[in-house]
Parts: sequence; C-alpha cells; structure tokens
Amino acid sequence: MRLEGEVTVPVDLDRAREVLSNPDSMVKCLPHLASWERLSEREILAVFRLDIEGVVEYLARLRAEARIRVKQEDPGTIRYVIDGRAARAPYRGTIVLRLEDLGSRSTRIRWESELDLGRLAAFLRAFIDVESLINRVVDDIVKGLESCLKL
Amino acid sequence: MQQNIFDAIVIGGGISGLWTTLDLALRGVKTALIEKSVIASETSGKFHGLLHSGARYAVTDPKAALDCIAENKILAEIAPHTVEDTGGFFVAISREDEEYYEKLARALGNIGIPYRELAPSEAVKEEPQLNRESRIVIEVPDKVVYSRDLAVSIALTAFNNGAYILEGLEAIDVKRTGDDYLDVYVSDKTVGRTAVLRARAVVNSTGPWAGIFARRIGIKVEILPTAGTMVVYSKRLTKRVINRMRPPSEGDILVPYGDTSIMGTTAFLLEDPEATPTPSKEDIEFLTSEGSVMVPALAKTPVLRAYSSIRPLIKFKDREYATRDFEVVDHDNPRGLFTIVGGKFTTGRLIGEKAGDSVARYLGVGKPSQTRSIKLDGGDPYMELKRFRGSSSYRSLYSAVEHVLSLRGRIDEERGRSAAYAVLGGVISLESRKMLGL
Ligand SMILES: Cc1cc2nc3c(=O)[nH]c(=O)nc-3n(C[C@H](O)[C@H](O)[C@H](O)COP(=O)(O)OP(=O)(O)OC[C@H]3O[C@@H](n4cnc5c(N)ncnc54)[C@H](O)[C@@H]3O)c2cc1C
Repeated sequence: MRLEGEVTVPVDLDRAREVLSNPDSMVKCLPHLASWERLSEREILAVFRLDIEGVVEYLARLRAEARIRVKQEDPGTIRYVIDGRAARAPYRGTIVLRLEDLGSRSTRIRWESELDLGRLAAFLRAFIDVESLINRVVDDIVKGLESCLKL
Repeated sequence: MQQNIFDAIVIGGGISGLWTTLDLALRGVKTALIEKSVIASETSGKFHGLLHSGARYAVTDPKAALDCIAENKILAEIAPHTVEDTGGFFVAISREDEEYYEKLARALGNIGIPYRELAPSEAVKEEPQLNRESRIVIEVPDKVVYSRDLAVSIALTAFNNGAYILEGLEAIDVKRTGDDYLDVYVSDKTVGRTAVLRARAVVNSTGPWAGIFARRIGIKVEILPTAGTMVVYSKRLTKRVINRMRPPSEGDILVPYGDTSIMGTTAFLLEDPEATPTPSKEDIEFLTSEGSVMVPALAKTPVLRAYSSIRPLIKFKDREYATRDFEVVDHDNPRGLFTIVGGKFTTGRLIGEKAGDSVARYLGVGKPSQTRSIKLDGGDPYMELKRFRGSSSYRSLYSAVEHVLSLRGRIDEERGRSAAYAVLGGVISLESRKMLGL
C-alpha cells in the first residue's frame, strides 16, 4: 500500500538531514519503540509494539521487528528500507523523505511510503481494516519524526 | 462388529468436546466422544494454565471478560480439586503501564470483576520476588487450573453418566444416511482399521483443526490458527499469577503451575495451518526478558523447556456485535452437524452448555443444561482408579493401574496425582471401548 504526504518542520535542512539520516538518532524518534541495536553503520534492528487493538482480545500490542537500512540517496533524499517480521511473518516497506529548504529555519519534508504486510495482512484483514491500520502506523511514524525534529 | 448407534457423537477430546459430552450426557443424550489421540493432549494440554478472572480482557473485550469471571467462579465451585485459588496481581512497572491503570480499573468496575489495590510495598511483602520498583499493584481473582486433572474429571463424570469416551479414534469422514442419521467414519489407531459409528447429531469440536476437518468433509468453516509459546522454569517463584498492567501484549503473564513457573505467551502465524508449531530460541529469550521485568529472579531461574500450541481463533470481522468469542455453527448440510469454533479453556463449560443447547434442540430433548451446578467426580483419582479393579479393562491395564495405586500412602502420593489422572483417563477409554465391542 502506497501513502504520501508532507510536513514542515521548524529546523534548517542540515539539522533535519543530520537527525533523519543518522540511524541512531532517527530510530529514537520512532513511536512504540521497545528496543533497538545497531547492526552496521547504516543499519539497525528495532523492535516495536504495534497497536492492533480490535483484532483479538488477548493481543492488543504485537511485537514487530524491523531491520531498517538508512540510505542517503542525494543531499535532499533519504530512504529507509525496511525488512521486518511480526508474528513470525515477514513484511517489507520503504519510506522516502525528500527534504526542501524553505529558509528561515524551516524545512519541508515530502514523504512517500510503501508497506507490504504480506501474510500478516491476510490474517489481520479477517478482523480489522488493514488499510487504516497501515495509515495509522505511517502517520505515527511521520508524527514521531516530526516531533523529534521540533525538540 | 455390532452397530454402534448414538444420539450424539462429539469429535475431539479437548476442553470444548469434553464439556459438550458431559453436558449432553447429563441431559440423558446417549453420547460418544471420539478423540484421535488421548483427551487434552492438544491445545487443552498445552495452554497457559490460567483460569482467567477476566481482568486481562476487561478493556479489550468486556463480553469475554464477563464470561470469564462467571466461569472462573463456577469451575472453582464444581471442580475445586482441579483449581488452585492463587489470586493474581496486575503490576505497573513503567510509566506507560501506570497510564493503563485508570482504564483497567474502570473496566473492572463496569464488568464487576472484584479487585483490590495494594501499596507496592505491601505487594512485595506478599510476593517477595516481585519487582521492587512496581508502581501500582492490584489483586484480581485469577486462578490456576490443572489441565489433565480437569479433563479426566469431566470425562469420568460423563462416563459415570452414561457417555462413552473413545480414544485413539480419528474421524475421517461424516456422511448422512437417509433422513435420520449421520455416519462417522473413524480410523482406529489401535488396530489400524476403519469403523463406522452412527448418530443423529455430530459435533465437530476439533479445536484448531475445525476448519481442516470441515474441509475434509466438504463444508466450509473459517478458522484462523495462531500459535503461541510458553516457557517453563524450574521453580515456582510466586504464589499468585503475575500480569503486566498494560494492554494485552506478548509476554505479560507469569503463571505458578505446581512447582514450576510458566511464562507466556507469544503470538505467531503458521505458514501451514496443519504444521505443528515449535518454540524458537528468540521466543524463550523474549519471554524470559519480559518476565524478569515483573519478577527479576526469573532471569536466573533455569529454563526446563518450552512448548507451543495453536489457538482456534474464530474469524469475526465485527467483534463489537459478536456476542461471544466462540460460536456453535449449526450446519444446513449435512443437517445434524454442529461445529464449535473459538473459545478459551476458562469458558469451556459455557461452550459445552451452548453446544448442548443446540444439539438438544435438534434432538428434541427438553432437559436443560446441568453442568453449572454438578459437582465433578474425580476429586480423589486414586479412589476412582481403585473402583476399576474389578472391571474388564483391569487385566489389560494391571501394571499401569497398580503402579499408580502403589503411590498412595507413599512419599510420592501428591506428585503422583497427575499420573493417577492419566491412567484413569486410559481406563475410562478402555472400558468405553469394551462396552461398545470396539
Ligand atoms: C498459547 C496459548 C495459551 C493459552 N492459554 C490459555 C489460558 O491460560 N487460559 C485459558 O482459558 N485459555 C487459554 N488458551 C486457550 C485454550 O487453551 C483453548 O481455547 C482451548 O484449549 C481449546 O480447546 P478445544 O477443545 O477447542 O481444542 P483442543 O484442546 O485442541 O482439542 C481439539 C481435539 O480434537 C482432536 N482432533 C482433531 N481432529 C480430530 C479428528 N479428526 N478426529 C478425532 N479427534 C480429533 C485433537 O486431537 C484435540 O485433542 C490458550 C491458547 C494458546 C494457544
């Protein structure tokens, strides 16, 4: 599923790039983070607790593991490549951030994301609207990054 | 072989099938339960051991929580020998946990699940292994239920009320014969032969296999199998069940089961719904790490083993409007076939009552369910075994029965109770087979 949007943050482009392209600082901005470790210079392994309330009563939070590779494609473009597992089922996705300097300590971030929950989606679909779940997850991620940059 | 004709055949000897069998037997319905292996050997023998107070579901599914608290009380009344009234704590450790408290307390109050708040220092006095940094602690009426003890007690009570408990028989097909009967084709594992049992009503209570079995006989039942892992530690660290105060998540319940502690659970999807789930090293590490946040000593307690099993989840899109987390499906084709899907060990009796209602209605039996108030047999498994000394199966099982009986009055009497229940289960099955000439 493909989603896109944009946000404007009150920091200059260099600061935004510094935070968003550094795996260590970026990961701390992500919501529902339970733990993380660095795998290599550009790669981290993070564990989240995904909010799946409404699926089954005995599980409102599902552990989701994500290997996130951070790629700086050009000075204004950062790509996160995600390979993850939740409930032992693989999922994958990418988030691309395009940064644009708006001057006076302000940066516009246009983002695009593509998330494929694979087998997990087939399961969740029996209980909830998976599209709105993905919407919520991506929205949370963007909000997390945004509020981190505002600090 | 003589033709065996019953009013009802229940396929599957897990908790749901057992309660259904007892429910029907008590209504005077001639019932046979057939189990491909032995009773309570699948999910009902590989669960977490928690007799839910309902507190765990109070926020996410108040209807399920209401059923749990009612059944928790009933089971403690009718089968006290299978239940340990441990009580349970919900503990908030992080600030995020603390934020869940309000929601939980409100939900418990609305549903009517009794709880009491304790000062963390008082809680640590009562449970010395509890994390000393606990911020909020509440006590709820969680209990522990002993799987095989209960399963055999239900089977024994059903047998004593005229039901047949047949182990080692796998149902392979169900076919309608004329207007009145369904034929159940079974593969008899003990002799490698096929036999046919006939009944007016058949209940598919095969738990996680309900969908697979339905497909095998040409009907559709949607079931979503998800698996979970539990880890067993060598020591009982707490008197009570310890729950993490947060939305139901993986790794948030520690159950004191006999002399051990069992930490659970995880949730995972099976690539092949017919595959047997197995615990992974990551599951064990994860559960130990989560458990030790609540009870730090867990990290240093040796792991004895881990096991996994499958939840027979029902596919409900509109949970809000679903009345329960289980359903008894009354099939149009073939008429007389019913399928049980979903449920919990805690609500097994209620499932049996509802399945019993459907089957009794179909058979035109007016007698209502009795299981809510009948005291189960089997309080003393040694005594029950002794009763079979004169039976026809006694010669075949002489050594097994006498070995177990010899534990009585010896140093191992208490530890041997589970063995007594297990052998008792075998004797009931053999007796049932002999009575039917199987
Ligand atoms: C990880 C985990 C932890 C859980 N913890 C708890 C808990 O702490 N408390 C709680 O209340 N609930 C718990 N549950 C839920 C509970 O264990 C299950 O809902 C319950 O045991 C299911 O019982 P059942 O009779 O439907 O299925 P089962 O116990 O699986 O029984 C089905 C039976 O059918 C038999 N069968 C299958 N096919 C055939 C055939 N063709 N012919 C004959 N026999 C057949 C099988 O051999 C099996 O014995 C847990 C579940 C899981 C997965």
